[in-house]
Amino acid sequence: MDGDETGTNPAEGPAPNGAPGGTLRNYLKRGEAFIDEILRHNELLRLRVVQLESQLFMDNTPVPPPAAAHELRVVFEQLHKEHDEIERRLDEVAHETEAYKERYAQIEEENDRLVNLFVAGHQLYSTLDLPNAVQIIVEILLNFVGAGRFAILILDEPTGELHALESYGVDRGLVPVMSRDMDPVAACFASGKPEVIQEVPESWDVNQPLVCIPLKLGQELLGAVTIYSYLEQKRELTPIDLELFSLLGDRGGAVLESARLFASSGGGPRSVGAYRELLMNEGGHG
Amino acid sequence: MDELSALIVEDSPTMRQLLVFALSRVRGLSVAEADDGLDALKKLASMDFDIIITDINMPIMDGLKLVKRVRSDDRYANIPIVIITTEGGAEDRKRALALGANAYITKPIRAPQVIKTVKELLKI
Repeated sequence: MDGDETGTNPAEGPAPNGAPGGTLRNYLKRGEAFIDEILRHNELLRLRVVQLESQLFMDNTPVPPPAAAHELRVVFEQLHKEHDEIERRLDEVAHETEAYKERYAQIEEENDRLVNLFVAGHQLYSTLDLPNAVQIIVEILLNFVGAGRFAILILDEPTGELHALESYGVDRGLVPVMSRDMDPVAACFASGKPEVIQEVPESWDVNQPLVCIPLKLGQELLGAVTIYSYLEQKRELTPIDLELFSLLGDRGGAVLESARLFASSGGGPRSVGAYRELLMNEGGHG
Repeated sequence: MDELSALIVEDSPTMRQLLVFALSRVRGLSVAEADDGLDALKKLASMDFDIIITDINMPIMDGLKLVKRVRSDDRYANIPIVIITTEGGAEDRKRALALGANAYITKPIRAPQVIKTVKELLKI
């Protein structure tokens, strides 16, 4: 608009208070101040809007844990770690226990083996009485090995035949006479080791030994132990059985021969003189 | 643990020695020996035993007669009895257990088996 309704120049017209020039300027200044104030308010409102928006944004984020919750979280994490550690240790202990169990079983087996061998050896050398010595061999075969039918054969050197000295589970008179030149006697005499049939063929002759143990006297062969069958509960031969066979072969002959010689000597009175005499004759000691 | 005692009844010195060796490994268990059933009854009368381990085939008084005598005597009625024998038949086992034996082990024996049985019966 170029002028107001009064038709006067607003720049030079009367001021509202009646002073035409000054009044307009005052009016304009007041308008200017009013606009500044509005702008300032506007600015303040904008700032406030920003603050509120910011507050709204903050309200949507997770609430930071209070101090107690934070502590609980720390404790929980620590417990979780300890739990994992305990589980790991438990696994370790379980493995160790398993290893100890295995070792314990091995030691038990070894103890069992040693006890069997010790008792058998100890008993074999506990007597010079022939019937007693024979009985001990029978007991070892029956109780320790679980043999059901067996015989102790002695070699008759002039004929080369082996005849039963004692038997168990079969009448002595029915034990087959064996030749030293025929297997299994020939084989075990040649090797000096027990001949053992682990798996018995179905068509096996019951009079054929399953085991033939040479009874040794140093390098000489005195006879053999033959086993024809086992007790019904005996399922299989074990390593202990094989060691007992070797023990019987290595010591049994000497025990039987010692007992025979002792019996034939009459077992006269013992004196240090008799021992010395034997030492001089046999060993050449002065 | 209080000392427990076992009575081994066996006519074979070889078997007796094997059993003594085996049972001497059970901590807290002392072992006494008898040659046959009659000898065992004499020892039972003079000493307290917590378990009896007996063979069947023995001279003078066999193991089954011993079991019968022990079970018929109130003083020994609760003593566990283990039979150790070469007789592996089911009927033999049945008969021994029916007479009052608590366990039945067949020869050839293995020490761990005897130890396990004795420990179970003594609850140790």
